[in-house]
Amino acid sequence: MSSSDGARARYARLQGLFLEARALAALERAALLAEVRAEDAALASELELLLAHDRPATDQPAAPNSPLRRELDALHEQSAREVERELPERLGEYRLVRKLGEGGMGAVYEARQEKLQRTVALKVLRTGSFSPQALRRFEHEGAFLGRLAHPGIARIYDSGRAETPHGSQPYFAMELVVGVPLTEYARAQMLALNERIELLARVADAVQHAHRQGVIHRDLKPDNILVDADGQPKILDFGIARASDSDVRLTLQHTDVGQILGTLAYMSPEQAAGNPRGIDERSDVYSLGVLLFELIAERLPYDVAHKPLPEALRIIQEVEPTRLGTVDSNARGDVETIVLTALEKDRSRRYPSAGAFAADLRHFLREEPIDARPASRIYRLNKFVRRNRTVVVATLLVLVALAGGLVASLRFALAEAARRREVLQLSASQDVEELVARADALWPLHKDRIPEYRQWIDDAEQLVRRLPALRATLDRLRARALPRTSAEAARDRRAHPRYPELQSLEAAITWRRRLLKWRVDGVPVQLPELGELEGLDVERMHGLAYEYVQPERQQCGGEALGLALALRAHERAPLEQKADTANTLALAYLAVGDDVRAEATYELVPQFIEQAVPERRSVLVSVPGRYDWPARIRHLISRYREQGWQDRVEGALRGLESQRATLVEQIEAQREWRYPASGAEDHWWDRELERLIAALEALERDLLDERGITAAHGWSVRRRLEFAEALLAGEAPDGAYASAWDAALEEIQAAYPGVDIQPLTGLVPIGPVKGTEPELWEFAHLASGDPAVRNKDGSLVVTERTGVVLILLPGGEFWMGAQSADPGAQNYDEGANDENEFPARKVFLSPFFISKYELTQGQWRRLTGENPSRITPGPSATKPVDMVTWDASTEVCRRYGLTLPTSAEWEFAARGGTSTPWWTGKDARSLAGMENLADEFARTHGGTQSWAAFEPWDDGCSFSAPVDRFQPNPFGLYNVLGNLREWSCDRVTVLERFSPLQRDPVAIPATGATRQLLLKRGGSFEGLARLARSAQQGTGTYGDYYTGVRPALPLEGR
Amino acid sequence: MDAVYEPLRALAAASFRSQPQGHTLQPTALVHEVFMRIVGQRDAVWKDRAHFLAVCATAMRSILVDHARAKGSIKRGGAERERVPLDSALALAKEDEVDLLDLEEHLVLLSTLNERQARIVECRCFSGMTIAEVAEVLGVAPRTIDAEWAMARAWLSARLADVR
Repeated sequence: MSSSDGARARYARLQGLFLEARALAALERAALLAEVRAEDAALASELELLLAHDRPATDQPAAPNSPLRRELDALHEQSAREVERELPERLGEYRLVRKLGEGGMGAVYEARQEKLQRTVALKVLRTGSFSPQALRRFEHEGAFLGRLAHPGIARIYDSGRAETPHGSQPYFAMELVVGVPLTEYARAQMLALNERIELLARVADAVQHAHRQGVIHRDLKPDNILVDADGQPKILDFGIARASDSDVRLTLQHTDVGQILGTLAYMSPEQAAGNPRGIDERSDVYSLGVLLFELIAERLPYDVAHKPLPEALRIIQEVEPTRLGTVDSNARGDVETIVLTALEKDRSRRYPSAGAFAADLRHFLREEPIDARPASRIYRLNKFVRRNRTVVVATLLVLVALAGGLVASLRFALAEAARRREVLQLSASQDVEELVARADALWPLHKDRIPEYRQWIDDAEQLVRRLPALRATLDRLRARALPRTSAEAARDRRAHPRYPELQSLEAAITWRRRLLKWRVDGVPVQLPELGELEGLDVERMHGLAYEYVQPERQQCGGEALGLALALRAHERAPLEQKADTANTLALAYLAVGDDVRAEATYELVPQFIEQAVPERRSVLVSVPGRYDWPARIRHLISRYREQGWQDRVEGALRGLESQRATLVEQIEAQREWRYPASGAEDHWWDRELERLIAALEALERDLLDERGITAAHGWSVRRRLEFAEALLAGEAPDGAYASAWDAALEEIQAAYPGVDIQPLTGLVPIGPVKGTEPELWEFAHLASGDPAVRNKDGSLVVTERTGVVLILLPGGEFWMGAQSADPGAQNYDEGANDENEFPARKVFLSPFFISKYELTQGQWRRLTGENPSRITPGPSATKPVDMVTWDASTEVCRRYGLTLPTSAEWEFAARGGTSTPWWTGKDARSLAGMENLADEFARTHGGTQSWAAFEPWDDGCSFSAPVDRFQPNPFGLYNVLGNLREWSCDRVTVLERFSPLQRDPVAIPATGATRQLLLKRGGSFEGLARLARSAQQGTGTYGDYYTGVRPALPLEGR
Repeated sequence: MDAVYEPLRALAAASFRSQPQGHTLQPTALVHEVFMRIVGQRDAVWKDRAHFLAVCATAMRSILVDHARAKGSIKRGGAERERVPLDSALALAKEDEVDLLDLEEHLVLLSTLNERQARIVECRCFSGMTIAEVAEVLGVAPRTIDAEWAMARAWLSARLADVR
């Protein structure tokens, strides 16, 4: 709308009249109006209207006091403070000259240090974002940074805090560098490729100097590297990001998006992941790589400038940088390799230091071979495969911190605050992971860990307490989801794995309801039309009818149709088939609850059988089951006539209905939520929250609940605590375990002269081993089950509940291995394997415990919650556990304070003081009935055909036997040579490598490449005596059904 | 008189009430939106409170108008534009409601007739400034502002009543 000068003039005239008129009394005003009207009637009307809308001046507010105004005033106060803070006149001994710029962490001023008559750059940090601890660290590190002295680094003169009216203000005073940013300098000077590389090598030298002092820059970018008039690059802000505790997240918090993106381009993947702990020297190497790229190509290796922040972070972490050679063909080959090496996502593949990077740049400049190697194609492919969920969470945290930062000075963060709460909830998923890791570290079980268990439980409970809130959040989220359409619901239902189960349940219910109608209410059965089924031949029709009505039918609902078919089939059937069809017809009547007609029909069957042709008759009579039909039908009829038939059916019906209700609930439960197209984020939250809730629930169930037990984590922490507390009580001065030790200690010490034995936690003495000479003692391992008790004859009773029984062996010198060379020499064994058993060596063992029995399935289940065994038959779980891997066996033993025996310990125990091939003697036949091996009984009683051979005796056992069967060796150990082979913690031992009288010899622990040499000792139920020799060493890599565990424990830690 | 600026909050509340659900900005939040807008401007350094308030007034006016327009465009297709209550003391109309977009339209017209008066209305209505504060910001004697405000108010009030 345009307005002419005329309109303005008119308005001005109107205003003059208005102001004049409103000052007049009513009469005078009327006179004025009349005057005006005479001259300009329209103007007078307008004036009159204005006066009608005028308000007396007294309506004006005296002072501003409305809520709106109060809000604005508060804002003003706040911003005024910010403004004042930004422009202090002086700080401490510095007089501020002018502001040079503003960065993420604060502002930089040119300042004058009057005492020393020098000009400095004063970096003043924003205080709002630092905790008191961070400020203290800042001061501490500031002093430290002052020691960085290198021509390539802007010197830090001083750091400290100045007291100002707005509180304590931390600052850094540093060398004021007058120069231009690195990249601009190179451009302005039109430096050649080699000059640019040399320039960056000098920067890298400076970085290396700082690294050697333990200072990482973390924020290398052109703006932080100025080149002065002498061409000397100088790095600013060294170590400040770290000293001020501003990791990536904090840096983002106070920076606008443009600045973030400017910084992001130089940020290493580990920084972009928001993981401050992942940052080290190599993060700076990465940033140097970006700088080198930019110096050469005059562009960045990634395009992150115009990407949304999460996308930019993702690119840095996942996308391969542009290859330098595709931007600048002069920079193919070695330069490109150097850049790519510095830019490796995996920092372990980068240059290990800025120095190495600088050195390689100089190699290139001197045309020497460079150290970096181009990555192989396979390696590059592999890199694409990485993707880490925590990255996403970190991204969100960064995002939220950003959003939070922008409104940080406002008192109301509104929606962002809510979002932040959600993210904090999500960060719980890392807490869960951490708690699980901590629980896994709280082994072995020990009473000294009680405070740790308690602390863990406290922490976990705190986390689990968030579950209701998380579930509520998820519910709220799902309230925003698109409603599930009936088509989706139907599809979900049909796709549910238990849907078929529901269908047959429904049919069974329907049938019973109809049955009640037919029999109790007397509603006649409605026979359906056969329709197309009429066309079936008698056989097929009969077969179909049978399917619908036979008593074991899986699917109900077709009974009426079955009856219709049976009637028609019986009617059409030729005489010789009528016995069959009458049978089925009787079943059909029974299926619809008509016992009277069923009885009448089945009574005809013998007659039809009589009438059938003789061959047919024999078939009818001989087919098992068929022949039984009359009896079964009679039984079914009598069931109908029993007292309480109706109650029984109704009871069954109620049971089925409640089953159905449970099942329906499961099947109908929604499992997928869809969100509007705009709600991609909601969908993400949905999945994350669901995952988090599941993780927390698992934490609660597996690690917090007192009954929790899993193979992955063993006992729940609460269970460990309860056990440890019981142990503490039992081992207290007047506790039961302490008393048992007190009572036995003298006797035990007498039995092991020269061995210092004191009460051991987690074990209690049982008594001397029956029939050993000299006397050995047995101890109960408490974590694995109840202490074994003695029979009347003094032998131990092993039940499913029994825990591990350890026998203490005194150790000492013994001959290990075997030799087949000299019958007169030690440990002669004609079957000896010269590769590793030869020569027999005399070694020395310290006292150790070893289990009297192989670890039982019951024990394994108590320790892991599982029984992986393949050989499980038998009334009790006293068979040895099988199908356990070396890793699992080692870990389970470790958790509960046990170990696997070394090869030497095992052999010492197995020999029981003998030097013959077997503890039973030098003839294999001596093993008969003493150890469970592959024998005649196994051959004839299910031993697999794959077994090559069988010993000629009969031990009455074809697979593994309960651990207390067969005969004990001289040390009282059962099944050392037979039953199952046993894992040793050692690897295959080449005896030649043991020195004579070596103390407690062990081969190298089995790890990495030597895994295939994991060691098994002893024979098994599926092996021959030859493989069960005491010196025999077997190998294996995985669990099988003939390998188990015999735990051990050195008396003093190994 | 306490009620002078209350209506602006009401105005703010009303103009946000009909936003798509989930967008539940409160008047207080509106004030902060204003702040965001002014601190977003580079060198948001103002000499004093009055200057600050004057800047806020402009921002507030444009935010409210933007929201009203957005709402209007949602309602395009014959629906009546929402009327918002305006207080009597402000005296832009005898009745207690005024259409924000009408007000905007006439403020623009007023600014072509007398720019300073439009500015006075903006400061008074959208950030609750006193005559003295407006006088300070505009560098004019309070008496003048007082008179101009009276004129502008009467003129707008008459025009807005006329529209109805």
